[in-house]
Amino acid sequence: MRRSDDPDAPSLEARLLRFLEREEVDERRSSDELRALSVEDRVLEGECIQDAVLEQVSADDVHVFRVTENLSKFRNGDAVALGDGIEFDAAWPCVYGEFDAREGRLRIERDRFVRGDLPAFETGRRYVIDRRSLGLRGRLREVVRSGFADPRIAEVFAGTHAIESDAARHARAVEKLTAAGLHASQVEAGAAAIGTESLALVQGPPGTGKTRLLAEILRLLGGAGCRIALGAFTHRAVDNVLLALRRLDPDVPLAKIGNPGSEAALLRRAGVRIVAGRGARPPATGVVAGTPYALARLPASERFHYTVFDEAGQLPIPHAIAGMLLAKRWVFVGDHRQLPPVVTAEHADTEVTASAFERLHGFYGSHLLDTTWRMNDGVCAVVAELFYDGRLHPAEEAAARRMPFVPGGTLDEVLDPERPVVLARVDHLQPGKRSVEEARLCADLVAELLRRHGLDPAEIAVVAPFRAQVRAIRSALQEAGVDSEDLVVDTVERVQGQEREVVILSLAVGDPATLDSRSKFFFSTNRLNVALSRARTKSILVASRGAFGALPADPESLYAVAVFKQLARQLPTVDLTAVYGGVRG
Amino acid sequence: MSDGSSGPGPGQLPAITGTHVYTLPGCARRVALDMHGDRALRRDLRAEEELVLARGREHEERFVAGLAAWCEPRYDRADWERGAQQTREFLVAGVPGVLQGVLLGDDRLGIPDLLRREAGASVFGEHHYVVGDVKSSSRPRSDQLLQVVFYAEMLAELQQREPDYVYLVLKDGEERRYDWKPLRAALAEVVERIGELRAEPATTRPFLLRNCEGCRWSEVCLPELREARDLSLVNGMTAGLRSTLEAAGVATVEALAKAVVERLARRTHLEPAMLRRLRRAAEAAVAGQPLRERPGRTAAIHPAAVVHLLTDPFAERTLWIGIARRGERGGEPRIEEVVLPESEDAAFESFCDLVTRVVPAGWSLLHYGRALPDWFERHAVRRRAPWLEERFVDLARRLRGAASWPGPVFGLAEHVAFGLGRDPHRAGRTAAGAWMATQDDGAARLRAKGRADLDDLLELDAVFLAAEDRAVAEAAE
Repeated sequence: MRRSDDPDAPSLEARLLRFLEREEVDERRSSDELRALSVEDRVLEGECIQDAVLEQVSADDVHVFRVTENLSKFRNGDAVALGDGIEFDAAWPCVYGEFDAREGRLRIERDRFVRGDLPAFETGRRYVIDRRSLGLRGRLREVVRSGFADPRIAEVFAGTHAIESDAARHARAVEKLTAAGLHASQVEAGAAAIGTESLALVQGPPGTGKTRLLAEILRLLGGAGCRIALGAFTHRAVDNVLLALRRLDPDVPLAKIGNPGSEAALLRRAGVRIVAGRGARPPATGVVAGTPYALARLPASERFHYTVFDEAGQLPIPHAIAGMLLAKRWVFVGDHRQLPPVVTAEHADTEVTASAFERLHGFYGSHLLDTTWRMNDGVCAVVAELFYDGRLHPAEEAAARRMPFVPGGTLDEVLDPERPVVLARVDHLQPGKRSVEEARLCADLVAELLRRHGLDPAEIAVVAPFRAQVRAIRSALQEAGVDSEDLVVDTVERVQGQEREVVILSLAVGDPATLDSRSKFFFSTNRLNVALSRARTKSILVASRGAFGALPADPESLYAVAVFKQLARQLPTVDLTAVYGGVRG
Repeated sequence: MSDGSSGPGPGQLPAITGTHVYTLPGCARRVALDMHGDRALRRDLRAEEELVLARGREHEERFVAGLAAWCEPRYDRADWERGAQQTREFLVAGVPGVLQGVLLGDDRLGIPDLLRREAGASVFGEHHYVVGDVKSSSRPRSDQLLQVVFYAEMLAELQQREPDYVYLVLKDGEERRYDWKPLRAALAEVVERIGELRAEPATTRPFLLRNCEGCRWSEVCLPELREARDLSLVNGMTAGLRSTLEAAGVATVEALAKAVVERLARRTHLEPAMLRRLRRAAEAAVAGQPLRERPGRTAAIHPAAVVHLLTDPFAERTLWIGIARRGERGGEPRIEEVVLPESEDAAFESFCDLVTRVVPAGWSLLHYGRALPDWFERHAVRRRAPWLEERFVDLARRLRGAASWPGPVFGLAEHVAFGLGRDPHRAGRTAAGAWMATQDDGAARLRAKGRADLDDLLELDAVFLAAEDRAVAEAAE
């Protein structure tokens, strides 16, 4: 970590403020630059849908379009604009809804936060759908200023803080966590969290019982009468911890601030109070949870005994400060080897783009949860070697587990359970974000897993780096007659925190030349870690040889590519190019 | 320094060298030509390229001057056996370090700049050696790393011990250490490919790349591409796309310009939007001029000024800064400029001062490419600087959307040549800025080059962008 000795160098606070401003500006600039491209180019960037033919408009202003080619990165709920693709000022600000890939039908809905009349759109006419940017970082600038006005927070981020702990509380926590049946590394980490008088960091690699530990920590603290703020970058992570805690303790008061997210009904059923609207006050005891944006809206008078962060490896420093301002004791639970914070702009100052967890881990280290109950021996061996310096081990009950297998299928070589991680090679030279070749193989693998080997659809996840490939796989599944809502087909980002019996990762790109320029995204070892480690018993990497052929110019990317190359060399490989492949290089 | 510059004897295959490893990530064809081509066909070095080489040599000599106790093998040119034998003798003797040592393998030859003694047992005794190379770049690059990893593998075999690390000495003279073992798989691929090129040079064909401009074999490759009407002459093409299209029977620019997108999409599984864009670019290539496109209307970038820098990347020095208000083109644009500022701090202050003085607050600052905003940010993170990031607008991105271009666009030179039909190098090449600064009339040359570039930018803006922006602004008013 850089600690500048130059007295004229800007402070971390100033650099963070600049980082936030640059992010905001970049978002606007990217939006402007995108608009300055032709519709075709915007489509290829994944930021636009062209030739969307309006079929009908329902009474609740839902517009249904027929779309023949959807390469966009849009997700349900994204802010978009509907118009002719040229006159953006005249475009209708709306929200991207459900897209049925098989039928080619897309729902566009009214944005409830945008006022004004609905323009008249003609059925049968072709329209263009573009991304619309939203600015949310203004409040975070105030948060950073307030954070650095607090000498303890400033000290923690400068790396000069001496961690304080209450030895008696620590000892009591060891007893209670051991009695709760936790593993030794969990007990050590949990006691450090409960005993801290300032800061504790817990690194939780995949399947190491991080959520269980968090729930135990929160249960014990809640039971001792503490008021705890719980923060995570995504609603999904927040909800996940709240529900896990509820399963463990039916009595501790739970509340969630702001948007209830997609699990609203589940949360309400679990007795989680949703605190929304102006003037609504969170409860005075128990756990009050929210995303950093929600926590940042709490008045300064709201005080907590602890702030606990989940998935802190994804939490940018300003977002962490929003939660830290609420308490004097901070517990960060995360893993900087999994998904990092989402940063849109290129920043010369890389320290400000790191997650709060990564920065603090660099200064203070962390308590590693070293036993995984998810991955079997084979999956764990690959993940541990590539991403955790061999310090991660499978629990005894997980190590020997194998997926169900009925020999005699056409893809037995790939699906053999004694090959827990395998490379299914389909050579092609696709340069974009989509490979039909790989999509077809993924569909056949899923079909065989379901029909021959009897797996439940809910036990399979198919993931890809790009949404365009996710859609291609969904189409291929539909063509193969596999259509289940329980089957997860999504980008890697969407499956962090989940686990499945079998995970299939399709890399989609086969032209090394195009990978050189997007190597930072494509060859993210964090993303690879997340994808491979979702599997309990089997990880299948579907890729073209070309995906491993890139030689990016910057050494950081070269090291990341080297991990992929090493993986390709060490994994058992089944070459299915003759059946599924395209043009070879 | 390059190794194995003299070719193989008759009937012999050339050895695989560190220079080949260094070159391959940029261009496989160049490796094949370096191994098998007729060197007389290479173009002469340009003055600015001579300067780069001379600076590299000076940098290396300066660094090596501090290694007085190090030894260097002496042998007749290309007598690698003798060089390798002497190097081995030095290593066995445990000298502190060896300069330009010779490492020989079955089919490999490596001449690392630096072999440095370290504690720890090896076949030589209680010591072993690590490999380093001196480079004149300011940041490390993958090709440099792969080259030292190549040497490290050869050294590991020789001393029967893996070196603990490899290192690069860059322009600042500081040593940067790297773990080389994770890069072995990448090196293995590179060496395998070079082995193929060594045995079968015809397995590679030219492909028009950004690097071609600076390659001495360009006069061999470029005519070949033009004669074949190769698909790499189409903007947006990649080697993978070329192979895919050729396999589908589309092998020339003209064929692509006439292709039926839907049919081609079915045969290749390529995205129709990508094929439409490529076909349009091929149409532009056939027409020999940009074909105007209709991009989306952005919020008005009006009024605006155009800002431009010339830099010497080796010296990390700004050579010229210029600003002109948009719309003041033709004849004598009123350009405010700073030539050869004394230091980078002075350059940054001059830039901020020029912007504040010449460009009214709120005006957009049009620039070309990432160089200027990256330069600004590098300085701005180190000091208190005005908040200008918000006003930067990249002309390169906007030009990309304004037209389909009749050939690959790697930078301003192509936009100028294609868009304005002008010689972008009429006042010298951009890469020659550092060389210009060394000439007696350097300030005048830089002024001429900077002004020519700025004039080109103003003209490109006027032809392709400004009218549209003005219309949007007027409509908004």
